Amino acid sequence: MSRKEFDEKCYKEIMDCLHASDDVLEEVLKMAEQKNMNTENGEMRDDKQRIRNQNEYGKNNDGKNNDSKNSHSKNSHGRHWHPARVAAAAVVLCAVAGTMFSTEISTYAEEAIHFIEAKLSPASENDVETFADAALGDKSISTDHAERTNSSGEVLDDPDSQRVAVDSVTANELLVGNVQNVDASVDVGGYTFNFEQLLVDKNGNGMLSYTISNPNGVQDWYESGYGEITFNGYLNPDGGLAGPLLHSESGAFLEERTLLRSDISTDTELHLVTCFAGNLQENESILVELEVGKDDENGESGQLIVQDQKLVTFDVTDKLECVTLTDENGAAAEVSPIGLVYADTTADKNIEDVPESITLKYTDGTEYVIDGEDAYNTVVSLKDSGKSWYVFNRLVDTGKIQSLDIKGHYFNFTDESQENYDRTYTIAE
Amino acid sequence: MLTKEEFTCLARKYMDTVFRVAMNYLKNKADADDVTQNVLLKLYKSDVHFESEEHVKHWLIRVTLNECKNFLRFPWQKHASLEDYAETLRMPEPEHREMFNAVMTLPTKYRIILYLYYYEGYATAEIAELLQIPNGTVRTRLARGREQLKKMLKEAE
Repeated sequence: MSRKEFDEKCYKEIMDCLHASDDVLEEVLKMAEQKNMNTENGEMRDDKQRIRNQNEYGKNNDGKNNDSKNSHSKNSHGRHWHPARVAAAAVVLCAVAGTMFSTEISTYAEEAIHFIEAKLSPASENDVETFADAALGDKSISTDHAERTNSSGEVLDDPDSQRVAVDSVTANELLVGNVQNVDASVDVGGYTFNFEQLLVDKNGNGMLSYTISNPNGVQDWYESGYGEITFNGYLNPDGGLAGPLLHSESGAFLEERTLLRSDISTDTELHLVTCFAGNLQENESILVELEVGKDDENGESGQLIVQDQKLVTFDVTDKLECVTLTDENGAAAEVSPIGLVYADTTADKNIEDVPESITLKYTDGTEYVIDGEDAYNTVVSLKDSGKSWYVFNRLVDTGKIQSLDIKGHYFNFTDESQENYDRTYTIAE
Repeated sequence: MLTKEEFTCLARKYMDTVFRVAMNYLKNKADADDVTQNVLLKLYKSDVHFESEEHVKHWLIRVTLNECKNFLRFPWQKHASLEDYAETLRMPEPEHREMFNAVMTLPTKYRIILYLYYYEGYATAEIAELLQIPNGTVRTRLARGREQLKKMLKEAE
């Protein structure tokens, strides 16, 4: 082959080598069948949610992964979850529905699940400051990108992230009365979870701070970029932490990211903040599932052998208020100091909304680029059931918001047309 | 809406096309598989009346490009090594591997256009329509991508 010229034949032969994994089609058919069943039962759920859940808990119900035994499949947000967890969580949720707050129940795996109700109390001004510094202002939470390199070893140009220190006066003005001190210490498989503080807004954006400690060292986690850590103890032959899993009392899974406060964490104690978002209804409790377990022997069945499991319930009543903004067509967006939710502006299932930048503009002329081509300043982003959630990586002073700008395009599946939009939401009169 | 049989037939025929577009866009096999899965599901539930298989392919590429764009909005945990994936590919000659590495080093905007032009055989005007960019931009990127690729391969000699 002459390298002086572009060799079209060689190029085509290379592309011929690229194939989707064998089980992709099989999984699509399974998902489609599930969709049909739900429709027949009058239980039409949002497809994004189904895709998210399906991917989140592994592409394959039989636990087979595309790449290798240890390469767990990822959802469209790039998360890694054990395939068996959806089954375990479903069992837990059924149990919760019938046996809320009982101390011990039996699961399919004949393991005991212990329910623990976290005690909550309003935080003092000092405690609010502590929470705000931890969850919103800690600059030791890394903003480094998940390092992606190309075949030449060059780091790819992922968008930048920036954390901003919190002003304690503003934090108290905005958050006092809503930050909850948590009194709950839970032992799971040799690890101790000490829950510290919790804040949830009325749209289901939230943050939970806690520590995980183990005198022998906290094992089986890795940094996955933008300050996030992921637990993968189930890959350890002896078992390990599978990570906290959050859901609502009624069963909605909450999308979450766990951030590491690196300055104060040690080998034996991690200081963490789990940020989450999802369809949390008013007056619904949050359930945090903690488990230690391991993959089955060969990793092929997708079963998680649970070694220890606890379920902590948080009954939050004082949720953070949101400011409502509307665009010229009356579409609404709600912003709290910790997150944003806006409704889809099209109900047409043949039209896909592809947002490209989301920016909050303040009355003093400054702006906060939540998500854009060159900036990524959100911790959790989720699209589900006709709404989009974004959890902020800084405190937003809702009293100083001028507008919210969302730019992107609509793609019409039917005629393949594309229409750009530039929506500006302002404070509702 | 497609029947299951129609869908399966089309999916088998075009899933690698979807995967290749996604792979050229995302450079990550696991992500490209996820996108392929999502795009095929969209095809299955689509109400679009397809006039021909060419129409299906065109539609799938458009949807894949959008899906990839949305996918990149969630840039977490993309640790999968391209090198590891490349090792699993059965390339006919060492030169193919060199070219694969060089192609994957190109900026996405060049890589996608090279793929659509050289592999899928689309004309520049059709690519312009697929990507919603001017035809002149497609031609410029095609020329620059080709030049950059040649330069990289020459330097590797």
